[in-house]
Amino acid sequence: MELEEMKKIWDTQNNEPLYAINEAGLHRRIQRKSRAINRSVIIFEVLLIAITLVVTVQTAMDAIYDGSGLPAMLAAGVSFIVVLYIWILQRKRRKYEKRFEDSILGDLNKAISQIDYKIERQQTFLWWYMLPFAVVFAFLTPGASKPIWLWGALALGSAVAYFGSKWEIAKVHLPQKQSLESLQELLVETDG
Amino acid sequence: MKRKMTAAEQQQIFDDWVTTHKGLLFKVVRAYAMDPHDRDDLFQEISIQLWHSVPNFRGDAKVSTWIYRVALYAAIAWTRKEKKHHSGKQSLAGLEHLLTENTASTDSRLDWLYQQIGQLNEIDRSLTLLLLDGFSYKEMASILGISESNVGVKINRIKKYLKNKSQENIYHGA
Repeated sequence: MELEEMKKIWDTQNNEPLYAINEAGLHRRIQRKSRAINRSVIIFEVLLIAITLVVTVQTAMDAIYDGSGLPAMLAAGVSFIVVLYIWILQRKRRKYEKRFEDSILGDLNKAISQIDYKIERQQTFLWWYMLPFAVVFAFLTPGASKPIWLWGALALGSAVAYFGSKWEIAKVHLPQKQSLESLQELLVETDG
Repeated sequence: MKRKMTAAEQQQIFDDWVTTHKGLLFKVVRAYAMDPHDRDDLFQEISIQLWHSVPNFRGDAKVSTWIYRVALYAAIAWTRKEKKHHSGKQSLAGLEHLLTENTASTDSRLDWLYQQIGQLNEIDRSLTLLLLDGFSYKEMASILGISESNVGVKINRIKKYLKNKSQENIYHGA
């Protein structure tokens, strides 16, 4: 069979649709899934910004109303810098994502770049998020006689964040990235 | 500054696209998903990606080209996640069906063609659909983001493959 004949067979589908669409059901599913997708994309950054802002405001209020003074103000300043850092990263990422061309290769490159972004953020989470807060907690906030369980909780939280990130990178992000990269290779290869 | 599209406008454009180009969407769904449950799942995935793509469409390309690109990428990505989809089938089992097959329009030669397309890798499947739908090498290169010469190499390989398969089919008396 020649290609022209295959095209003729192919075109028979244009006369009579193969399926009927349940439009109401489709709309319901899109609404439900779209909300879920939007939530999952922004939840990490928005949650971090929200938590850090609460810490900033609380520490600043302690400084003003409880007379905690300069150390608490410095702590609030550090928290605010972390908020700004996350916000700038978010804006930079969104701007960068607009650069990819409208093609399947462009979509693949964008998906790979998003995974790289997640991996980088998670690999450095301890340094740009946990460390500033540990410093604030240990040296700047008042009350050197914090209960031992609080130190333990801080250490445990850091360990969970560190090993949890490593696990997620190894089990989720890297396999996804490898799969996308193999598609990328399949797309650009020229000698089958 | 460009005004942000309202949800109602997005819905209107999406509905128009689906109504006008549903044949194209069905072809992609059938080429990438082999059973009715998977087809429903893939159609949902493509529709969601298409819905999200509406505000990004600037009119630089033809609507059909844009929809093909979005649908094919969604199908390629979906195929890669197929194992996960299989494990998630339980959660979809209680949901209403999105697609109902029109059994009156089955053609054994078309079934055969889809079977052969289904044997190809994800990228070659995309190219075969575009080839059969009459897209030029230039348009295919633009949709895929690769060079025309690369498209040419792949298309030659696909043509040879389809021709061999059709000869085998005749040889075996099917």
